[in-house]
Amino acid sequence: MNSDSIKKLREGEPQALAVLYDEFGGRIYKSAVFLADSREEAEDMVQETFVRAFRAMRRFEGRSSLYTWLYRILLNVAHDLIRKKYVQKKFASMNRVEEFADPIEKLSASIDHDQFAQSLRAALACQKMKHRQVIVLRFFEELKLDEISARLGISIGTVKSRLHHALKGIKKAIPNIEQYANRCD
Amino acid sequence: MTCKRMGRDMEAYLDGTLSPGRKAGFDNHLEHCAACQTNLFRRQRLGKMISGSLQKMVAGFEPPAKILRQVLRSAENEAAKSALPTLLWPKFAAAAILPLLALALFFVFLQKKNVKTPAADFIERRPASYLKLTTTHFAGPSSREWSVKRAFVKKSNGEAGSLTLELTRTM
Repeated sequence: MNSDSIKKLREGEPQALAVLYDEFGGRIYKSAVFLADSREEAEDMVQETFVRAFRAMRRFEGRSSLYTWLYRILLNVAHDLIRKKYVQKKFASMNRVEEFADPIEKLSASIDHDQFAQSLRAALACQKMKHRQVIVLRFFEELKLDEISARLGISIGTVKSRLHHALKGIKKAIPNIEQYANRCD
Repeated sequence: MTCKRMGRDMEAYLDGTLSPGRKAGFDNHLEHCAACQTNLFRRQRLGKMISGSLQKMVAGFEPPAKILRQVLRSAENEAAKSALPTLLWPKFAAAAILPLLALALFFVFLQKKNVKTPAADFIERRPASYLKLTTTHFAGPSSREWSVKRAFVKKSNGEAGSLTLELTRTM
């Protein structure tokens, strides 16, 4: 993304957003898929991320890369979604028996992947958002501890702790993980 | 270095961000501890499995075209909203200035309408620092519309004096 496009975005030109989307939309979407519970939700998250980015573009100071900045917005969107869902769930549980569709099934229907991937997806969905985030950043984005720390705005110690708990959670959710590992070897 | 410490340093070790001293301690412990060797091996393997799996899951994923359309539509709405004040600014400014201008002209008009009229039937001097003025009539407009803004007496050679009332239109 060149400075001209950034300038146009700062001036509030909607068409410049298409350039930003072309460059980062795919990566943001893929990460959103892991943070969301369904594809529709991931799409909503991506849309909201770019709209918020458009609104906040004037405040982008260039201290981090544009992708890092967008990713932070995505994480905020994910947090807001969790909060919203929590409230909805609370209200729903007051009136009726929950009828939530299995998000894994919803997502998995469109993904062709092996058994481990399915188990991993299920394990991820059971994780708290903060643990899911570090897993995605560590193993999908392949970031180092200090980079995750900067991206999430938390200390390296907290990143380590979250990663430890997240991996523990995955191992617990996939008890036969060693079998998969041996197959992989 | 203890096994517990090894567990804490493992992620930084994998990142290659341990200080040279800590890394040497880590390597040294690793050489002699089978449990830590296994842990490190398992962690590396799990990392590769998760990483590979996540990449594979979304390998063919492309965001649907409708997202961009919706994003652009929302952005255009946002842009239109934010452009509105700019476009309307001259009208807003005019709308704000015109009543102020009208008010200012009205005050100027009122100032010009102030009437000075001499009239007084009786002036009672009180020991206090004010004068009581009594007047039955004065050659001015109806008192319903006018009120006394200022009154002052001009003495002329001894006893008699003239009273001046400065009137302001109240309605």
